[in-house]
Amino acid sequence: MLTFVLSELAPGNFFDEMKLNPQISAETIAGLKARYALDQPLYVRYARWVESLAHGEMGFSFAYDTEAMPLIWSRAKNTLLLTITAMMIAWMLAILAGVWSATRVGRAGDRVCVATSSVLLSVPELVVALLLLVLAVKTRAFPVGGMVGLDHDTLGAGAKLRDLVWHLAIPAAVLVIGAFPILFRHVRASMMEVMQAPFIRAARSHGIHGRTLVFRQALPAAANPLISLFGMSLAGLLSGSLLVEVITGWPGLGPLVLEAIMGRDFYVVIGTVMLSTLFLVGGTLVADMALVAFDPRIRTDG
Amino acid sequence: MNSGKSILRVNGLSKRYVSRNALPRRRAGVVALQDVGLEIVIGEVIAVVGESGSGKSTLARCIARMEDADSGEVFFDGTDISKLNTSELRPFRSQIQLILQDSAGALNPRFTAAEIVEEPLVIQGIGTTEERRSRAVELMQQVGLAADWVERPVTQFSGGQRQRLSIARALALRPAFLILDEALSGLDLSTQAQVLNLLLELKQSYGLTYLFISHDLGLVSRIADRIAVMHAGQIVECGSPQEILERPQHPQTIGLVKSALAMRREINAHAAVGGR
Amino acid sequence: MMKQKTRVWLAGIFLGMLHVCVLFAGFFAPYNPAAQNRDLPYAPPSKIHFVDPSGRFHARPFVHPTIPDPENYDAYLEDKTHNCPVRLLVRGDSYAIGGVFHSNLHLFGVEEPNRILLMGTDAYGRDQLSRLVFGGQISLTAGLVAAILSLGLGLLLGAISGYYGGWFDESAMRVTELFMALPWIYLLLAIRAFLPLQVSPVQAFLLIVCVIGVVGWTRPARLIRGSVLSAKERGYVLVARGFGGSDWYLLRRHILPEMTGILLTQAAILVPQYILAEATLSFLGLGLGEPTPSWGNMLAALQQYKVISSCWWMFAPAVTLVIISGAYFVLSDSLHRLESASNQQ
Repeated sequence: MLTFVLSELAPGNFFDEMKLNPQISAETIAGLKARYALDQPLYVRYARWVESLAHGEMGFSFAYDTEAMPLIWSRAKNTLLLTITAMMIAWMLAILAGVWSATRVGRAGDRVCVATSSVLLSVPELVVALLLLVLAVKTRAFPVGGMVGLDHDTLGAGAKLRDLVWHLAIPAAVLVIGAFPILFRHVRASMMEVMQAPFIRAARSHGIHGRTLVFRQALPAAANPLISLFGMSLAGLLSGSLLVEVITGWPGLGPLVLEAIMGRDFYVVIGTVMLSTLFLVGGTLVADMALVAFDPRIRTDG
Repeated sequence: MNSGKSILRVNGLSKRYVSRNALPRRRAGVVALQDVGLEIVIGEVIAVVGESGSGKSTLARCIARMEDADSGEVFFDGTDISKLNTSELRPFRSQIQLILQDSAGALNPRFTAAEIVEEPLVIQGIGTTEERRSRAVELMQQVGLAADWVERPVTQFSGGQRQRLSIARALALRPAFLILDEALSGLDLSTQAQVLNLLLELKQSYGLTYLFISHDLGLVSRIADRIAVMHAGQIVECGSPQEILERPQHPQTIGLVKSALAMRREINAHAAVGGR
Repeated sequence: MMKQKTRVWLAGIFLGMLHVCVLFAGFFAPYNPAAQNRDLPYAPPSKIHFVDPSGRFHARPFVHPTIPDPENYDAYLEDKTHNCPVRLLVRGDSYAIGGVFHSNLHLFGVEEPNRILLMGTDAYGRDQLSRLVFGGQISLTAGLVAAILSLGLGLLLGAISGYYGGWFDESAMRVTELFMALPWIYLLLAIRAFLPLQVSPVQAFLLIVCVIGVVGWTRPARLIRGSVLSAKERGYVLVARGFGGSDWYLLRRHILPEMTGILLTQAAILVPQYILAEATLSFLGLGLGEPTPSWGNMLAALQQYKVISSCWWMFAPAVTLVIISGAYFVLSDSLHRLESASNQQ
């Protein structure tokens, strides 16, 4: 856990290095330079940046001509919405499918699931996103682009929610399809291992069957490695969300950071990257803590 | 048999294993060797016996400079080798050889028999490729392995044969002193006997000195001139096999003698019933 | 179920053939990938016929030239008045193989000035098939080179870390944890962001390869480190050291040969990831730019509504990406199973 705290501190330092890149001065117009105090020596700029960071600000965005922080944060909320939704759906499906598969290892249902997951694994997210987009366009069932329709504000509360959900569907679906195979495999493997354990057989002989057996006894035992997986899957999902947002037009951090790069809007870039890292580290920390709370064995070693 | 000059003298050797990760309370660590002293004469076969944890393996490794002791000296042929650095130690490396118990772990499974036996020569840069190869064949024959097995991969050799390979490799640099750390423990009784005979032959031919490390008192009493008993990092008793077996003094020795005799009774019983 | 070893061979041979095709891209592609034809933007693929409009059968297949439909804007018709026989081994635009040999022999083609467009054209009227094959050259090579870079770095740092330990090991592990804590796309983009936007194709290629390679070295490094740590405690290593073996000797003779298994499996995992990374970067516009074709920037056109709804042939690079991913997946999966089977023995 200590290492994660360290990592949390580290990204700040990491990006120092990049700030020292002379690119920054070279690209800016002289007038803007003066306005944004870029003609100050490097260490002064950095000091001021750190200071403003401590105040919760993240510098200025050149392109939007506004403070970077609120800009990044509003987009970040959208990305979080997308990522967390996809995460929950993917994990739910993976657990259900994984457990179901593990109880019928080798039989038809299991084989189908494993084969499907293999196929899905081979298809890159880029392609999945494009395919689903085509589907959306052709069937006109799902709206493409944006988070809400143009007339969103005029709708009633219930309709607003439905509008949001429709728009959320495609990006979330892409992320889920991307994440599901790996999660499924791990759940299945973990469950299979647990099902072989002696204590399961003992429970069975005591008359505990079916769903109780699986969910009350086996699953908690299998959950240990999965919680560690949680952190990694979060990383993958965050990375994937960037691409998906860009392709499907979901207004999250993805399109923002892309624009910022094209427009040489450095503070925005740094801010975005740092924020996404923070999310990731935060999520893994949560997973770590959950693991400690969940499995008493770990506490004594810590 | 004590007519020769001493080839190895150990003085006040002490070593303690400290675990770095433990809490400060536990830092005291485990005492492996405590002020151990020993003298070995040229041509002698001396055995150090004890139960696991008595420190005998640590002693062997410190003598062979696989590990370093915390304090004390190891005099080989008059020179204190315990304080030498790597380059100064090099000439002595060929003189003292260590043979381990785990023959499978001691031999790289990807090597052929020839590569195994040649390796010391390769490392020390002795001889040309052909010279090394012929010496390897020579050594293999001396330990009783067929010469045409030279190119076989190590995985095809049995446990006893692998030990012979280890011995052949140890002999490559013409050592004077051989340390065998539980080298016979993993083998069945008949193979043990064969390897023991081989070792005796080699001792005669080359004037070697042996240091046997074992937990098996019965085994070493067949070959040793002197036996030293170790317990908790110290040598508690020392004497000829006869003295040890017939008049054990220290409680540890008594325990070891008892189990050795028990095993021998079992073996004899087996033989009587019609085993080999 | 096929034996794992067979699968490895099959996947390996398939991939090998693909790579050879791509090496000889110029031969398999009928045209220069940069050759534009502004008269025919987004033309659909030419259909191959054996029977001509008058009902006669020809043994040699032919195509009709594609011409814009005078009645429908943006649509195309076949000009049935001309038959263009497809010939094998024709002379056409010249190209270079591996940058060294020059040739102008192509696998197939039709007589100038007609064009055979087996996979349609893009916005500038460039033949998609040619672009696909040349793009493959770029994308596959990028993946391979970046993987070699990553593995090389990982091997070096992991081996030093595992073998010597100490402060190097400590700091190296902290660094890997840092790298692994960051979501890789953001890291990739961040590094890319601080580098100039407009670069020549060659520079861009090298740049991308380096960036991708540097981002991905951590996982192989950790695995190598672990393996080196356990290898250096083996009995035969200690014995060899007892004979006076130097560190370099021990590494070279005993420890590094154990690494080949890990390197292979990691390669099978990393190469497709890197091919995708290059495609993603190019797709987003941060990789290779015009006119160099890359599967990524070829797919970028699909972001337009018009293209994605009616020009199905533009999906070709996506198909190839899936095929390559699939083949590598089979390869790595089988390798993985082989390795765990042999570890159990």
